[in-house]
Amino acid sequence: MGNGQVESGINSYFGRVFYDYQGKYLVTGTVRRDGSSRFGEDNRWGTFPALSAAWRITEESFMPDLPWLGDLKIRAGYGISGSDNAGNYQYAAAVGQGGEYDYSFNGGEIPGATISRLANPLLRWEEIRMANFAIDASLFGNRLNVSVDFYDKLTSDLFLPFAPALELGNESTPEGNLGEISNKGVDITINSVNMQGAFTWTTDMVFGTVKNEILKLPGNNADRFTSDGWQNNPHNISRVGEEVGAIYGYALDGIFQTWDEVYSHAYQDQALIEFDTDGNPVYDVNARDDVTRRTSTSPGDFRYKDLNGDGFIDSENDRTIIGSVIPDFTIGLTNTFSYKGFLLSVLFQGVQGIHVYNTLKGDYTTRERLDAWDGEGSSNNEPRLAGNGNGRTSAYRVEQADFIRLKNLKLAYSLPRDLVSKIGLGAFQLYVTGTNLWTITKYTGYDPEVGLREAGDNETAGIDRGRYPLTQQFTGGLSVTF
Amino acid sequence: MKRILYIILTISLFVGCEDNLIQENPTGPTGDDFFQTERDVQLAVVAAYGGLTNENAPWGNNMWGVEAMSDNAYGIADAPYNRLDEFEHDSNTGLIQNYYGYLYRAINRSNLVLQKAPQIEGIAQADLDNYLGQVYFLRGYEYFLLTLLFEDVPIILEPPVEPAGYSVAASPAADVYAQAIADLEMAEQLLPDTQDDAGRVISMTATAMLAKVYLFGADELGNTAWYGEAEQKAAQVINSGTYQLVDDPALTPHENLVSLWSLDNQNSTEDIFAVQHYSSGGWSNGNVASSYPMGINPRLDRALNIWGFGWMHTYESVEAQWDDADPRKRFTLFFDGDDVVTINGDTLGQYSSSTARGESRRDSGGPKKFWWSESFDRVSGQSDLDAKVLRYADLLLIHAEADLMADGTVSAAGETSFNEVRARAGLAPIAAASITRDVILEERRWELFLECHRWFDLMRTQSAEQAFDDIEALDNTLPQYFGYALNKNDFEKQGFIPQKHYKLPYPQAALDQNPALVQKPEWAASE
Repeated sequence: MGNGQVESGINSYFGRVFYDYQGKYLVTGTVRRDGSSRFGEDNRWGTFPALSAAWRITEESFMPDLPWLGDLKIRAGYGISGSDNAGNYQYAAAVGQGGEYDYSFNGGEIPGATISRLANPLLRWEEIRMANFAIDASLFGNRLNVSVDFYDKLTSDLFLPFAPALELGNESTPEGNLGEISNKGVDITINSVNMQGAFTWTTDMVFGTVKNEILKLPGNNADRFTSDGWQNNPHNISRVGEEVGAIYGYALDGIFQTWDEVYSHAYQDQALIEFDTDGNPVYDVNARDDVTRRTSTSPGDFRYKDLNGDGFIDSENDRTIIGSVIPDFTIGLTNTFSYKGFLLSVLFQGVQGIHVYNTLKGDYTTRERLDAWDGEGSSNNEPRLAGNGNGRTSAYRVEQADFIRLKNLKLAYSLPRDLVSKIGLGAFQLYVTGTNLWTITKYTGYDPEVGLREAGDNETAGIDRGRYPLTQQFTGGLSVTF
Repeated sequence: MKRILYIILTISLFVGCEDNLIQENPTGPTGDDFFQTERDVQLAVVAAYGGLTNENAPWGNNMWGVEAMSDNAYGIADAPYNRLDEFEHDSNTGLIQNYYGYLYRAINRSNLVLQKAPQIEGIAQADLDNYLGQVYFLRGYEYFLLTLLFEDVPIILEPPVEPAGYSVAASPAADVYAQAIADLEMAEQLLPDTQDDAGRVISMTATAMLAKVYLFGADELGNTAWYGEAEQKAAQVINSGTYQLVDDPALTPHENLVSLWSLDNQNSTEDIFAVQHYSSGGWSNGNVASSYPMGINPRLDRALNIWGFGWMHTYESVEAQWDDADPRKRFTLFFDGDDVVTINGDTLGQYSSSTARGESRRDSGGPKKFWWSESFDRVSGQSDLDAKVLRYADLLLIHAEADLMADGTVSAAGETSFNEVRARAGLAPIAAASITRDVILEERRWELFLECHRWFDLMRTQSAEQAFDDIEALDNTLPQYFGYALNKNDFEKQGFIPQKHYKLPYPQAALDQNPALVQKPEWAASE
């Protein structure tokens, strides 16, 4: 049913214990107990404890009193949290009606109904177990604060639908607690007061890096694809041992420059006479007509890699992971300068080590097609204009989408406080801000910042279907408080 | 030393109601609510029939893959049947997964009724018997089809519980036949002699299907005692007088054939079991309607919107093999130069194999059999035409064949059955002494041409190789592929290996999920 209404409910109980011993040892314990309507009677409730401890080393008597070290703390924690982000009513069987459940007697359509999806009464809370270890330091009279946080997060009992077993015959499969994903990473936060006084300069930096790995998938760890898997449709793959939703397609080995190259390569779609008795392709090597019109593989077409070396370029065996949608690291850097009533704040964002599948690349409207192959040696990147099979999802459209972006800039001037109070105001500030002002990237599409995962779909990412780019905005304003 | 400075302890516990955690689905019943009433049983019986009409189910339109394996017709390059006609299919071929998956889907709908219906109180015994009899019939037929396609298959008789699926091994074909026969016998026993609704099966439907299952099983399992069973069951159907050929003596043979396949004459006296299709006129109603006829109706003139999908053409050899004196020939097929006439009598032009669809052999035939019911001057992609799975002409030929095979001679009754079919086609009778098995098989080929029976006849008589040699010898022109002639050596049937290709491989998706299912050795090597 396309239209529908769902209802869900959640109940929570929460308890917390906090213990502080002489400001040296800090222990916090929490327990949540959550109930969700999305699970069957026996699995509605989940209990999620968390414990964290901190040791403020600078409070210890054995620590020498170092003038530059204001505060040094190490923290460790372990906690379990839960998610009920499953579909509704998955614990109960579904009944299908209409459409393919109907039949025809006496020349008219007769309604039918039957069980269309099995129940999964065992569906339960997804659990996220996270261990972390962190060091917090405050240096040089609080001028420099550094926090380094290592974490190891294991999401188990991840909600994924059962792989459809053919003998079940059911129209759809319920969700189960069937996946497992690991995220290990480091977050670093630095806040620094570089200059203090009439002229103040502060720098705030956040840096994050994470390794994402799938540990378990339903159906004996069967690969999961986000689209129908047709070789020309861009899609993401989730495969055990790899990241969630990596870009999947054919690997490239340049462009055929000559007919000899075409006919010495594995079978893509060359002019074929037959498959010989050993099943090997026998090419019509005399078919060397006008490459501007030829519809079978010819010079100027991509040479796809025969990954398993069987002499055939096929979607089963010759597609592989060709791009990562999870960056190596992300960074955010804010510098704030203030002098008298003036304030300048500059935020740069950076992403390194991420790919985007640019569906628009190779479209006849894009500039790079001006460099299309038009004869031996003319290009090893851009295929001929009338191509065969060059539209397959391949590394051709996978682009490095690293960027550094001037995300936000703010310039403000505040009238001096005494002047403001004279005219009976609390504060008076004039400001201009600009967002997305300047970007350094090699990405040729509209905007490299499409790699964000699409809401509600954890496995589709990094595919640029010509999404409208982030807009550049300028705002000017006057802020007055009374 | 002060050990504890302070402890803050906050525990909030509410002994609350859980009412908001019990959520009914406001838009539809869930499984727990279903199968409470007789009405639910009736709906589930309809859905069990519906399992045969999904567009991916065999009688949606996928049975053409079975016809494409035979010596009758081939699929064009972009047709879904193309891999099967060239015996290039493997365990990943989507069509094979659909045969397997959709037949089990249909079987499980029957299993559900068989389990749940007897638990519901207040259903009159005769009604309950009727509900159960119908789904026993469907399940028996579906297991018969499964073993014809796959040989050994898992036997599943109860609805599933565990969403991860089954671990169940394939049962030998003999056991699958035994299950099909047991189900059809239950249906024969439980079903009434008549139904209020046209299209529902009756007791005699099961008897007729049993005749077919026994005959095919006798060949497939080498169980010669079943020829006699088949003859007896077929005779029972004939003697009951339940069915008649569509054969109006006032009409010509050609007119009778048109009448048989007319949309106005569905569920005629000749239909024993027909999968019912109904179209509200467009594409949108595709689940009950069918692209089954439209899939192979020729693409006559797309510009004028006079077209089917043109997915299949017949081999050129058919023209040579099929006697011009048989009125069924030009009823069943278009040949080059034939007039294309609508149901209103307008001549739209002449059939040309070269324009019927991009790839076809010169002089090959275009399917016309289902055109008669669709020959409007505008045709949509969906059709009302039922799939005649078992019709009386088939049963009469089954009778003659079982009669012959049971004791080596054709009795007077068998001779009558055989010649009844020929007479309707306007052909002279053949004397009993001349009715050999080859003669019967040829009669079956022409009578049932394009009805997806030919491949099973070649299979059960192990005669595909000879048939393919015959058509290759008669096939003089090359198939055209986007304007490029393929080499004669590319004759598509050359890939046929008898030890391997009579039966389909298990689909990879089934092997992946069912750990007890093991690929057949002759297919395992190529995985």
